[in-house]
Amino acid sequence: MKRKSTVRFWISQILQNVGMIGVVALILEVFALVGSAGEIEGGYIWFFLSMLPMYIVLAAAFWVFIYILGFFKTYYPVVLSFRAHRGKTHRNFIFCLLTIDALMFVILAAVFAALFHMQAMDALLACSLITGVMLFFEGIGLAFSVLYVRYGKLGVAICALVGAAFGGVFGYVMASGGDAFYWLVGHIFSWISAGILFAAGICVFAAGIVVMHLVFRKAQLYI
Amino acid sequence: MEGLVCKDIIKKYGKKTVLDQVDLSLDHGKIYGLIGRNGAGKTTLLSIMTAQNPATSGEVTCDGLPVWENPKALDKICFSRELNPMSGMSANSMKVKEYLKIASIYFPNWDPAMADRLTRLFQLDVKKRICKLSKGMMSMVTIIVALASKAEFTLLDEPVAGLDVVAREQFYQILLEEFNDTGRTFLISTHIIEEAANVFEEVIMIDKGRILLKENTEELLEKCVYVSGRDDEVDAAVRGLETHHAERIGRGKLVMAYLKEGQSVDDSRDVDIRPMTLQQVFVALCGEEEHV
Repeated sequence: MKRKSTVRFWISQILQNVGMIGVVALILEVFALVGSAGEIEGGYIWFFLSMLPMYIVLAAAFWVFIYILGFFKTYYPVVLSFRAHRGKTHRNFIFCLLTIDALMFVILAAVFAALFHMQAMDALLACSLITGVMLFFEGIGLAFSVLYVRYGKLGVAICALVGAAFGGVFGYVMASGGDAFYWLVGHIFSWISAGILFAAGICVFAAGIVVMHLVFRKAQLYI
Repeated sequence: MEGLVCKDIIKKYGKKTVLDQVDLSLDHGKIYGLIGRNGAGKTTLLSIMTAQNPATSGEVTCDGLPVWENPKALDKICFSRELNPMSGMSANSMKVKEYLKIASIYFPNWDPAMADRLTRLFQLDVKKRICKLSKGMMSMVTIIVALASKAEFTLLDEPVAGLDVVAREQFYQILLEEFNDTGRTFLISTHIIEEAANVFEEVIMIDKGRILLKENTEELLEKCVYVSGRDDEVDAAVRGLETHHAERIGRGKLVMAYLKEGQSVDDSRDVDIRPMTLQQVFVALCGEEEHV
């Protein structure tokens, strides 16, 4: 029996999400334009084009978070109920997310080059920084979504506790560090580069994948 | 070819044992019925057999291949379960069309012509969201997926729940046609036993997480009889036989006798011996015992 490729399903997921990011970015821009009516220098078209990358990034970070949650609530149990291979589904889902990131990378690089006449290296650094941010949000989204879908309120409580723990440690360091803390933060931000942010994004994304695997590798499904 | 085989399956949720050392094998080319009371472990067993739920211990194989996380084995299996629109994780927000489209991608032998035919036969609105469907229509969706999947081992969990009698007859007819055409193996769990009894070649009864019996349906019905009459006559007639479900009727009593090979009820006694239906056998074996 020739095994059927499921790549059609994943391609449709990728295209749907890239499309939705574009739609959400446009809607945000339209609201921004309406809100800024009469105060824009350089004309509406220039405003629209110059703000486009920022709204694409905002829309992407927001939409991908929503998509990850929606995927685990709806598509994941359906896909597993039809062909219950979890490892493959997890791999394909991660590949889907990374493909969306790669497409966003290319689109933004094209926008930077075409509209802002950025040098290739500058566009690459800017896109790396943005992709790092997206990976960061995807990693957080993965961990949150799988914990919430699998454990419900308990999952939300776990996420809240982890967030509170980080916040508590950060607050303590900030309070007890005093001026030294602000000096350190300033120095960190002064040398933070796109590469470091990209690497941090990959680390958080990898952590999200680990959480997903640990939570769902033997979970019972309820359709 | 080995078929779909469960060996020593145990499933526990915390301290509660839901399946207790279940050994079961499904051969190629048969229609099995799986019957059991609510909470007996039917759905849990089906989900473990199809790798949608891990067993605490034991193994499930399909033609010798382990089922868990094995694409080669999973290609041969379809588990069509009841859709639950209230589930937190579910297909409830999907349209029927989208659900069937995903099924067509994931089942290697999906038959789109059959899916279309059944959709028209059941008059299903494919543009409706699953959560908006009635219980009967959701059952129709699961039936379409099961039959159009063309999987070698197709397991259906309560496929006729919510269907009206006409739709149930249509389902049994289509099932038999499909079985005659392809020789696929079907395992159907159901509570509507009498209707389905004519379809089942073998029946599997499960009670409190254990397989009570797995037998040819006709042979099982030949082995099980009701014996009724005066207490002393009935007791004498069934002496040495395995009996279940004694109940009082008027001044006498009624018992179910399960006849093993070579055994028979002593019909010289003043008793009435009647054949049983599959449903009566199930109630006698799995119902609450009355102390008579």
